[in-house]
Amino acid sequence: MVSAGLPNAIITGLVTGSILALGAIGVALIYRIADVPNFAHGELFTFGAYVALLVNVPGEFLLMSPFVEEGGIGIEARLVLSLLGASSTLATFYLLGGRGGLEGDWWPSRPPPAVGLAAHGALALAIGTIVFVTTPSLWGGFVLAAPLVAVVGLLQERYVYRYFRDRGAELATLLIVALGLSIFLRNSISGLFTGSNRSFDVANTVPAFGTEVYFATARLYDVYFSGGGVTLVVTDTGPATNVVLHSLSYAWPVVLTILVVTVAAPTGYLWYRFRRQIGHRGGETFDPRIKAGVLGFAVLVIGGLLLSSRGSPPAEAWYSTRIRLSVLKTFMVVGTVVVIAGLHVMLQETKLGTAMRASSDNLDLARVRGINTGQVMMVTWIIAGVLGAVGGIMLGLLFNRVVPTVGFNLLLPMFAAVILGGGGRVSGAIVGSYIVGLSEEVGLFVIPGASPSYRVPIAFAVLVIVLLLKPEGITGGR
Amino acid sequence: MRIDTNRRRFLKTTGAAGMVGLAGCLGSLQGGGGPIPMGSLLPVTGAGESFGGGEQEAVNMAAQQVNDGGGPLGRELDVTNRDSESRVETATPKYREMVNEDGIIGFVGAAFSGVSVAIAENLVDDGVMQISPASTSATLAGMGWAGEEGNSLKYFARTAPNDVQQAIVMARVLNSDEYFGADSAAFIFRSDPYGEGLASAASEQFTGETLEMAGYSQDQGDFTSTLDRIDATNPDAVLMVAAAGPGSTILSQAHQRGYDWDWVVSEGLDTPEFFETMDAEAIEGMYISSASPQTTQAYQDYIADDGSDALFAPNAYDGLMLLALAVERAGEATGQAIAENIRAVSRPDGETVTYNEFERARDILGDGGEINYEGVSSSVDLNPNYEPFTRFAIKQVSNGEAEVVEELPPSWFEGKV
Repeated sequence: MVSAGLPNAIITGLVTGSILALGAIGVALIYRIADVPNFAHGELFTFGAYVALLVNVPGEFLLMSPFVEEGGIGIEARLVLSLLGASSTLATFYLLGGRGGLEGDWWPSRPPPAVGLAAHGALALAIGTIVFVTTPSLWGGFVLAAPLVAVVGLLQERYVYRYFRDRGAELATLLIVALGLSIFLRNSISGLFTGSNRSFDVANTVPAFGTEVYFATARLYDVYFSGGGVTLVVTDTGPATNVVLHSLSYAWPVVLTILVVTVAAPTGYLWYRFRRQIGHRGGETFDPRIKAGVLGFAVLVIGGLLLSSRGSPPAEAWYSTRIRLSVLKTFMVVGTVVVIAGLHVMLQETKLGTAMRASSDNLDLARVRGINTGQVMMVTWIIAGVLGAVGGIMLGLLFNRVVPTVGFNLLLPMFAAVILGGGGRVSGAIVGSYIVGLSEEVGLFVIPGASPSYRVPIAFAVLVIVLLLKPEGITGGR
Repeated sequence: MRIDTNRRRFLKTTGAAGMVGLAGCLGSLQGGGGPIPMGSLLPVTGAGESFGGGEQEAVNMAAQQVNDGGGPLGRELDVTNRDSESRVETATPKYREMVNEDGIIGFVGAAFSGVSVAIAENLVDDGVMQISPASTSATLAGMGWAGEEGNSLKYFARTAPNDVQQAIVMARVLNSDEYFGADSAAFIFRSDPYGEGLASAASEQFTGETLEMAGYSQDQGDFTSTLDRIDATNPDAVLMVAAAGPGSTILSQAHQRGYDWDWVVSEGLDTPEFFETMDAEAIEGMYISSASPQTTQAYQDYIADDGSDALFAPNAYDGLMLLALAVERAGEATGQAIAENIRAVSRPDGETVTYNEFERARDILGDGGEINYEGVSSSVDLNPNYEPFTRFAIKQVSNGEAEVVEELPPSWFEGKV
């Protein structure tokens, strides 16, 4: 059976958009709060990917050769990496506010210094231990890359951008500084790790729920429409043979019921709010439209699981299609959504988030109201660094290849996403990322005969059209 | 000023000739004179800097050996080295300088096909012979013809193989029933003159239906949508022209997506790095076309004398040797004379001369004999398009290693290009 073009393109677009979003959120936050058009953002991705490689395949790097014995990763390599993780964690808090940062003066309520020190020390120890135990798995890579990349971001802010900002440098100056820093970091990365093609060494299968799940290879979701109803067959494409995991059938009445409830539940929810005249309250964490969307999706999934019956594919189908999706890509999209939701809650619900939102609206006013804007900027860089590390590793997994330009090649799409979203808002950056990602992949199917090398130009054409129609960006001007 | 300079040069030349004539030595018999101006135009800086310097060294090494062997027509070779900077915009004016100011009659260069194409357009008007050590583009087979293509003198020659050769090899894997015997195929290639040229040449050689020509840009990382598009056309086989990096990404992503296609790929993937990074399962059974030069005694002697082993440096050595031998055979030092004689000195039916044997070649030619120059890079037998055929091999991947399944000697390509 031939793959369905459009559904697959949409899924690929969501994956591309998710990775872009992880970068674009950082770019938008830094642009709004720290006032820096961070052209060196791609290098945070690249650095994150290389740090994870250092954990995953330490033997391949000259850098680690003194600590790697013949034929395996020994105690020494683990120790070096875990020390790196622990010290970069402590360095992160130190850069946040010197000794006070280590003692916890940035906490919502200030703890006694000893408690703060102990808590941060425990966290550093925990990270060191996790890295020690999980090396050389990818999990160790994530845990080590997050604090290390955050430190790189913080050092940039502390020693480069703050210097220029304090001297009242113009936006154009900061832009050139960022561009210079990007070139410097990129070449340092190729100096440290060399320019050869690297790839992660991950097992094809991961153990889960008592069975082996194929991690990177695609699962086939075959959908058949026939007189009897809709049939969904999920197949795992193992290296040897294809294994049918589930074969679910839905009779037409069942399909209709699920669809009706899926549409009715969120509509009813919104209608109820409208009738009771519950507007979008300031204190509400999530927009009611987002809540309605999640509700609808949940109904669809739960209904699909509860009302299914086992059945085999029909002999004659009116229409059938095949969607390919790997566990890895599902993980990328879901992981990004979880990270975005977490960030959203943090911005809406915590004192720090409120301070960040205030600083992003008006830095001077925030300072006058007693917000430590310097610290808020530092936190922004930590968030951007951690998201960048996660995004970089995902990028390396998706491409099966890491080179020193891997993040830089993503820089323009990231900025395009931020501009498309409008005004450097985080919500805009997220929307913009998915639009850029989707138009890159879907554009190829919509425009017949377009060469695949036009993938990125299509996204930029969409950018130009949107900006012509709405110069302030999609979410801008509100 | 220019007229003045030319007059001076004219006086100098005739003066020198007169002196030699007066001396009544062998020089006048051979139409002797001052040094013979030749040149090199190679990418010492820019994108080609990793090999351009080595190629230039090889040219100078050959010139030194020719001069030590008495020089063509008893005169010295005077080689002007210019840096093409790997770019058309800088290489073209430098070529112009070499022609107008240094008065070169022939030169070795350029390395990149794009640069060679831009320069080759001027050769006939300038009466200058160009020999490229590294440009493999198929377009160049049709360039530098003095008159009708294939039926006149040609001022562009090369010691590097024509890409069409590889296209024929790859198309053989698609066409032949010994391999895929495919009725339809899709083509993936890097969007640059090299990739596009090779892929479209292979598509022309392919007897079945070409379903998709998918170019990719070099900094692309995710090829999923490209692969989905190819899958939608349901090809019997897939041909790919790619460098090792993007090539490995494309192959692993196709494997992960469950696309179990019959692959034939270009020689760019035949590197140790590629096999190290690839999951052996993903490339099992894949075919690779690969140039497999013979390691000759000449090459070993050349390396033993500290000859550069940079990419295409041996070809640059052979380029200058052919220019010098052609002048010697012609008995006069002009671009036209080289164009008339360069094939004759390169091909069989003559006494074999090889690395660092200029003096012996001169003696043979002086006695009215013919020579066949066997080069360091290959036997450089220039065919009617003034380019050599290289030996190719078809390899198949088995358990993560490429094994030769068929050797295609240079003679196999006769009449096919």
